[in-house]
Amino acid sequence: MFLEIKDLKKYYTDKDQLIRNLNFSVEKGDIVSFIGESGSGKTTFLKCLAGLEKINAGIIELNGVVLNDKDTFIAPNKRKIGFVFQDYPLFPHLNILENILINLEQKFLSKIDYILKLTNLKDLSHRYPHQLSGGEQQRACLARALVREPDLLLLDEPFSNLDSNIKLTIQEEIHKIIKETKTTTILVTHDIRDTFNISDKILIFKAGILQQYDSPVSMYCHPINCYCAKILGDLNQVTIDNKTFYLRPEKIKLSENSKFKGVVEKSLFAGKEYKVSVNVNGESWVFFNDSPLDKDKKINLEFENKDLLEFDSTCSNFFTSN
Amino acid sequence: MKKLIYLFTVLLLASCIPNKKNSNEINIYSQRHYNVDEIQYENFEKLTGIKVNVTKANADELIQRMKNEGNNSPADLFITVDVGKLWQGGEMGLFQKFEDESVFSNIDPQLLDNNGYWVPLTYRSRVIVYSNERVEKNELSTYEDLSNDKWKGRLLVRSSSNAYNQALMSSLVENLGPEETTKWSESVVANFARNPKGNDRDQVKAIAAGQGDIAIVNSYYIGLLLSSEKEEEINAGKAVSVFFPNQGEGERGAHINVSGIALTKNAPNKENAIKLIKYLNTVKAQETYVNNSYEYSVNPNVKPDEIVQAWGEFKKDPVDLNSLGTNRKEAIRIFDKTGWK
Amino acid sequence: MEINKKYHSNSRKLLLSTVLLSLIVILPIVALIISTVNIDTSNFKYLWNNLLFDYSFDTVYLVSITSFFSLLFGVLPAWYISTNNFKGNNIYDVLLYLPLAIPVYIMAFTYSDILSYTGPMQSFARDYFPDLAGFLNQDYLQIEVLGVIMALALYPYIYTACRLSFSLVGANYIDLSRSLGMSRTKTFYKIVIPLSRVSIFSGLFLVIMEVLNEYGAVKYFGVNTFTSGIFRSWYSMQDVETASLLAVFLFFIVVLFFSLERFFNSRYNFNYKPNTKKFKSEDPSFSKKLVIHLMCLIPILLGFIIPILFIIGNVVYEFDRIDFEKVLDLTSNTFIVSLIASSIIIFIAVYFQFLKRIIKNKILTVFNEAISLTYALPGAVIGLSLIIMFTSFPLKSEFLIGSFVVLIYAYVMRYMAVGISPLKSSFEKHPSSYDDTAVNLGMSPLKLFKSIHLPINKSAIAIAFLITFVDIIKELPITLILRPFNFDTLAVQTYEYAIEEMIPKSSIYSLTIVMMGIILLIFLKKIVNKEIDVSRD
Repeated sequence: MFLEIKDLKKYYTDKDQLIRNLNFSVEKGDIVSFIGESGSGKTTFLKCLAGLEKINAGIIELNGVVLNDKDTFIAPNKRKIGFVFQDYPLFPHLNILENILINLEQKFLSKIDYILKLTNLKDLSHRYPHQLSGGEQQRACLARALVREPDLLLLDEPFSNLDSNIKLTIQEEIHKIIKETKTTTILVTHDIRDTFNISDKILIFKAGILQQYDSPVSMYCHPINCYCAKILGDLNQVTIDNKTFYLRPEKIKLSENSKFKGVVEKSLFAGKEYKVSVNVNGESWVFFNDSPLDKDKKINLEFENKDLLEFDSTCSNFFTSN
Repeated sequence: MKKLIYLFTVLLLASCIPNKKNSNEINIYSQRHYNVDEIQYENFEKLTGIKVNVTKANADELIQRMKNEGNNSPADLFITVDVGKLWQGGEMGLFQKFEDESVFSNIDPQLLDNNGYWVPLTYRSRVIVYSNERVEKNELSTYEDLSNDKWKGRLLVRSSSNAYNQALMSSLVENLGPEETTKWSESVVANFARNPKGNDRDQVKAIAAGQGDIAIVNSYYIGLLLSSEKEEEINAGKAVSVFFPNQGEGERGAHINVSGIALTKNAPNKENAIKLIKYLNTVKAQETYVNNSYEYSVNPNVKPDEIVQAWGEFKKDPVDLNSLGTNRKEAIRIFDKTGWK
Repeated sequence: MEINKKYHSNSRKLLLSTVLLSLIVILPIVALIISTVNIDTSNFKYLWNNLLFDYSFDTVYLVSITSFFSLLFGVLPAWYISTNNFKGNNIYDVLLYLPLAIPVYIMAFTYSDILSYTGPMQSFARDYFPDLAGFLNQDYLQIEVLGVIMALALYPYIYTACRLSFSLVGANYIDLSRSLGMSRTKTFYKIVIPLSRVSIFSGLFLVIMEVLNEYGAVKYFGVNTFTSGIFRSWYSMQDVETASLLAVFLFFIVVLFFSLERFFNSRYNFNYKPNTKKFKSEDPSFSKKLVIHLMCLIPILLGFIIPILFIIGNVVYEFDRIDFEKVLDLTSNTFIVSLIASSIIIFIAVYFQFLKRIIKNKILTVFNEAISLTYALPGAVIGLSLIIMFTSFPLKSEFLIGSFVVLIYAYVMRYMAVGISPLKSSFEKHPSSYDDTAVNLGMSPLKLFKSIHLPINKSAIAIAFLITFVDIIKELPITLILRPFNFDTLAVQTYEYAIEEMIPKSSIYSLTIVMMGIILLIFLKKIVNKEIDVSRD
């Protein structure tokens, strides 16, 4: 594998272990999203990869070269890793072109034109950072990183500072840029919804350990535990024959007649559809409908058994009624 | 970049080395910085070709300096306006005695150093000046009389941190003893028209302004005021008269202090230094002093300036001048104890 | 499986270098404190019984009066200039800050002369307004008068701090408070002042430090502050022990103030929204304009125009007798020694700030703060501590005393904080991701410094250099104590003539200092204004 992380441990104090025993690998050219809550250690993880922090145990290996293990530590300025920080740090006294060119080795100079075109910065290259919008600044940082043909690209919360209406566009742009250059990428974020359409793999990280590492579809359809499941979307708790199952709202449909009968609690307008809460045998289920349903209306619901998800018993505590 | 740092360090270290002396010159640490001194040195240079370098500072600072510099001190001579400091320097081993006795010739023997460390150049008296309008001459008599509460709220004098006051206090300790002097100081402080501030000339100006009636000042300041270019200052000088205390039958005389010069222990230019001392006590040089700074000459044959002559002659307190140094610490303690700020 | 920390051997060396440098800067104080440990308690008793109360009272009283008037002269004009658009705005802005070019002692001697019985004010009154003359005939050598005079010389510290802060507080907050229905006055008191607390306190801190440091003026006016007490004990009484005790006492008081300032800074440091629009109000009404002009003109007139005119008048009067060669000589002395000391200070300050960014170590922060402490020490204390240090074991090397090294050492100790302050704010403004990015892009620390930190901080470096330089050319007590043989500065010469009651003769030297200061300060203002505009964009 192109990037190998083995038994990586990182902590500041013995009691507070930030990363305990992380193991995973990344294929060349893949984009991996690293999902974790604020403060979970994801930025620290990136810094460990980049060499800006030292790991306490484990091995980091990139493109066949050991970057960090108990005998080796390759200095951060010697690693072929690109890093775009959360605040898009462009040096304010240099224009965009100069920013991209800074400390650039000769052999990459010919790539400037290509990168500028790719990141759509050709017309902006002589502007200064404060004259650019957030999205443009981000692209500039990306260009600066990519022109050096890094083995690994790290993005820290690339979408957090952007307005939601342009997020989608930016995501697609970034995806396009990275895939064009075939750069192996790890991007870190706290909101998984930003990453569904651009990731090859998603890694969910909580409490210092890897929860699940899978393709987006598998993640969504087969979450490994309730944490992962909840992160990826709404989930209904469904009790059948005294066994607890979980079911995604979009898998539930109105039916003429079924054994699941319920009373409508409320219908909330959600843009392209309505989110309807139904009381089914004491449980509150949520599903989507094109039109609103009147309160207290009696309805029937159906779904396919194969869509039922099952987790261990601790999960029942994880879900509260809506 | 490294080279720059290296060069800089070298330059810095080089500046460590104190100035090397040249062959034909003398180095003086002096407290005096009147115009007249510069005139004297210039004349001396013209006469002998010896260059005179002067570092001017407070006498205490200079003494500290010489102490710290030790054997490496570049100073040849030390000049001060307070004999107490001269005594102190002698005590601290900063000076050497004069082998050549001729430096003492032409000088009033009352003004000489018994220990042979310093040579006086000029002297002055710390007198009482009084408002022409509000005080009659016969109201004044002695320094001791200043403690009388008839002077309550009328007496002006500068701070006790000034050497001239410390010298006066020292002479009182020598003459009256510490206990008497302490009592005296307490009463005097109670007579202050205001908290001590400003310099001697300010006290005179305050009398002219009506903020007090009498003041204790050095005699030459009156001369300086009367010969000032500023009309206001002349007026201030004219508003007061000079009174020499303790002149009566059986009284000891008015307190005096000298400006003097001493030869440092390891003077690098000893011969040149002695030449200067001798020059400063020639009649010509002494006349230059009296005509410019309104002090009295240490040569009994040289008359003071006309303005000063007008104040009349006076009996000088014959107490050993070195006592103005030996009693200094006690004097200062008395100042602090009695609240004379 | 633990990882060996081989990488950071370099940072260990760098850390060591900063510790050493810091120690060098604070060692003399340590020597001073140590020297007091063995002092006879009788000395302390003497101090306690006779002197401590007076010194404390006078010091506190003087500090209070000066602070009050400094705030008065500094805060209101700063507000008016920052928030109003009127003709003469820019000229006032410069003039309000120029009194910094006038050393406190020069301001004091000048005014004592102007106000004295034989001075121009009373003389004029006696000639033309004899009734008024009687009223004007007061003893002006009072502590209260000194406080006002010192405030006239020192209020620019508060003015500049407020100017910067008020401009940054910005339109957003002011518009916000207006939309909430608050009048302009209320906005000022309830919003702007609290937000500017940090700046005001920083400016006030500098004012207080200068008052504590002041020697010449205080001595002349008969005010017994700690500093004058130190000089008196040390020089007049040859009592080094008492002087040292006083010095240590003063040091701890100042450390207290210093901690207060840091406390304020950390608790009340607000981050302003960066995209504030330029704030210029509507043109003020006529009556408002009148008030503004009055409030601004008073400090300008009293703090700058009158003293300068008086000094120039003296220079003209003395013109034929001026020894221009000497003036030139002293000017070059002053210039060179200030240049060297300022350069060293800036070098050390930049070095420390830069290291703080690339090495994250608490020790560094502590030492960084520690070397600023020496600012708090009056020059007298620094001079004393250096002499003690070089005359006692194990550093006994008396030959150093009286050399340039010690003089410059003392300047560096005293003014290090002045150089650090603007650099600190500038360096801290830039996010740490700059450094991480630079490392990530392969830059060595040296390259990071040369290509990034040096250019983006160059205004701050220039500002720090200029402020330090101006302060050193004015410096008096240290120079008096430690200057080499035959080496005088403009400040020393001014002082010597002034205390010998030859103020007209001192004026050419005062004027030279002031002129140098004015030119540098105007230059400085241009740089600062550019900074304000840039950060507003």
